Amino acid sequence: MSLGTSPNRDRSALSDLRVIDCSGDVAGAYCAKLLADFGAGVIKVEPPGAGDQVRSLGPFPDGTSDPDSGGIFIYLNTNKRGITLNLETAAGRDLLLELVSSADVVVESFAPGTLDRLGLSFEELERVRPGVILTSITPFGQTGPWRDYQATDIVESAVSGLSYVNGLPEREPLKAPGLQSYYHGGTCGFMGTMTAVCYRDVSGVGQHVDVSLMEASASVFGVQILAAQHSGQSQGRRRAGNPAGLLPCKDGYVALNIRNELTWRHMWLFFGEPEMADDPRFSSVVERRKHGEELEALLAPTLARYTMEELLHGLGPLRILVGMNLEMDRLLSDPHLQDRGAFVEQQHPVAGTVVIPGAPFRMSETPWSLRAAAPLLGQHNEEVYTQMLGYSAQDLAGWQAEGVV
Amino acid sequence: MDKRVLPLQHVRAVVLTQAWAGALTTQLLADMGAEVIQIEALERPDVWRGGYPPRNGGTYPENNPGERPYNRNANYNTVNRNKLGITLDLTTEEGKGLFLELVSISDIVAENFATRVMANFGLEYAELKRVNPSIIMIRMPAFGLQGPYAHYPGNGGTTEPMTGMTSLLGYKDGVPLSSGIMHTDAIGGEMGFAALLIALHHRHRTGQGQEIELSQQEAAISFIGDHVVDYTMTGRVPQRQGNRDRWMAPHGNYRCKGEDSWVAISVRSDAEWQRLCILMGRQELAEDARFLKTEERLANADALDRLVEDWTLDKEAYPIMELLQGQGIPCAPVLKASEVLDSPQLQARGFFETVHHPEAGTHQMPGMPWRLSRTPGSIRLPAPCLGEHSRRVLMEHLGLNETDLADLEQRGITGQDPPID
Repeated sequence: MSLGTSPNRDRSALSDLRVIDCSGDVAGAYCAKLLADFGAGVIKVEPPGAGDQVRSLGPFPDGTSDPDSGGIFIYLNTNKRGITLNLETAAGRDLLLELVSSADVVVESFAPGTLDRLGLSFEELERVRPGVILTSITPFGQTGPWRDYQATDIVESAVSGLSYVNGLPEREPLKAPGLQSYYHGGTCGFMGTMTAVCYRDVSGVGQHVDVSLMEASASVFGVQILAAQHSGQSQGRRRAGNPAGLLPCKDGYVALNIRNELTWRHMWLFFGEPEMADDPRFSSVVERRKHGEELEALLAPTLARYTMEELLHGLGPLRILVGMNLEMDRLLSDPHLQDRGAFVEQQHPVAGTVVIPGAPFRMSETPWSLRAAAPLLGQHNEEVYTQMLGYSAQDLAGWQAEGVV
Repeated sequence: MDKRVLPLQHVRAVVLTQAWAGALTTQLLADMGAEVIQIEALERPDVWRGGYPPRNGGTYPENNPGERPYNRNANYNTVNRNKLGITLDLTTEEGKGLFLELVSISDIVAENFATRVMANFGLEYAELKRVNPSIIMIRMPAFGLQGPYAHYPGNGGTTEPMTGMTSLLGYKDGVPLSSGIMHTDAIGGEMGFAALLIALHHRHRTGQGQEIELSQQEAAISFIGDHVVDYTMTGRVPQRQGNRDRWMAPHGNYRCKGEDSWVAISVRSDAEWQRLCILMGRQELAEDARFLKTEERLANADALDRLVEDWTLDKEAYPIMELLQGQGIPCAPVLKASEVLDSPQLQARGFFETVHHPEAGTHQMPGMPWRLSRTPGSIRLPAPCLGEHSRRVLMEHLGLNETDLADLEQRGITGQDPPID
């Protein structure tokens, strides 16, 4: 393609990209969501019947399972169109290749080897669509002795090192919060895809992107991996209530970070006890780290007098770093996030009004946008198969009868 | 195709990133082939260099900070590989002028200072755009550029609790715990690069640059969107529950033979539970009414976890993994940093790359976080020593000569050794 010429009227950066999302997990869905939320035309391809297994995760507005109203699916599939297609059938395979023949990116999370078995290898995709980018997101990558092993988030958190450092030394390690490894994997899928897109912009060449969830998470553990080589010791779990952790206050928990002697004095001035700043045990960052437990004991009665917000607004302007522990209800009502519009409301035909996180970052010329709710199962079958690919209603009915669609 | 071709080798970035989040964004940019020039002030080097004398944490080779600790800190050296490093005092007119000259020949500017800093330098997007109309600028303050908390400083330790993530981490009925790595930095770093790639593609299409604002808080909230939607749909505030899961049981890290040794096991279905019972030699449990269905196992998770741990306690973690994976059950040891490095999977895939650093020695580092079949990228350069490339960049890119450099060095606008404080 030529650079710097094509007009971009709808202000979406990725509006020139057509994506086929065949993934069936949180990581692949999040990768394709990022593409869709910045303008790519994404068609989600699901197996007929129950559809993507993410549909079953809920939560469901009235508590009863419904493939169309699962909240997590709705969050992860914004702005996508959805069709059903059975890739295990010859007709299904041919239809997918037909879709790929006008696509720029294919995202998938099948077990390694599946695409080859289905006759949908990268080489085959590239044959029908030169320049195509295939992004494969799997637990351990396309190669290696563990490539066929099974994993869930807790397993990925364990093998990438992230769990070992979470929790208390005397107790079991805790997995990383949320579904961390899937989101890292999905984001790495997006970054790998977009790097390939940017390279294709200048070369016309496509490629196969291999994302391993294990490597995606281990990539953010590099400091600990280098430090272990330096010191001969791997970072462990921290003892309770250490200064890098959270300290109790009047209505919750706060993290505090005092970077130098000036802010240390300012903090005690704010607390109305300036003489406390003179204690030689806490005269420098190094000393304070050394006497962490005594410091917490000293701070506890003082912090108990203040709410999280009082500490944030009192110490923040003094350039002391304060973090409030926001539980989910506080997070959703936080005045800063409210003011910025960090959460958005979406109308969903089955689930009703759903509130989800909005833009992960804000771009001045090509903003994130919410154009369409997550597709109902098979919602766009007719649009894609008849209007886009030009098949007849009878063709579609035939495939439905045969279980292809 | 020549695998030394780098996918972003047509891109140049001049960056003021420091510590982790911003540095990770520009590390990824450099990994993928962009020429990334990091600018530091001699008076205030990147905080992840650890300070001089050392005071900001981080690990040094053989636990020895050495003569120039700022060139040996594992924190800095991990996330600044593949970059060039120069020093410039942006509080002087001359330093600022040289910076703007670099901006005029670059594609990207990145920074993650506190919100006020770029305004104080007089180097906000409008100024950069004046010298380079198609520049892409990313700004990554903790809480964004606007809003009630925009001017409060933050780092990983204080932003993570502000995302809701910390509230999810902790033992049942226990206090919230900060993570061991501070996830907001990692997420902000990745998202920053994601944003830059979108902006680059847009620029390839239209020639237009733009400004990107990334609040590290918001970027991280998108990683727990499933918990957000769970709360907004059901009104339930998630409780800390250790390693318990919303959908699976058993699900946990179970103690194994050996010191601080654990194995992660998660059972996704009734059929997997049946298979696990057989592997544990406890067929009778497969018919135990307390554990037949997922809902029952979730309700009786305390008893279930004790049963599983009774079985794992006298076994080593890797053999348990082989046994369970042989039956398709998700399972793996909880690896510490040195064991991640030694893991057969990452070794077989050649994930780690050897890096020779002139002052920190030879070590293994995680390589490319994703693999592009035709333009994979690699670690080509160790992290720069402080000011290592000042002369090269200022001479080659801006045409300065020896006399200019000597003059700038003499006045402390650029150089290699920080003043002792």
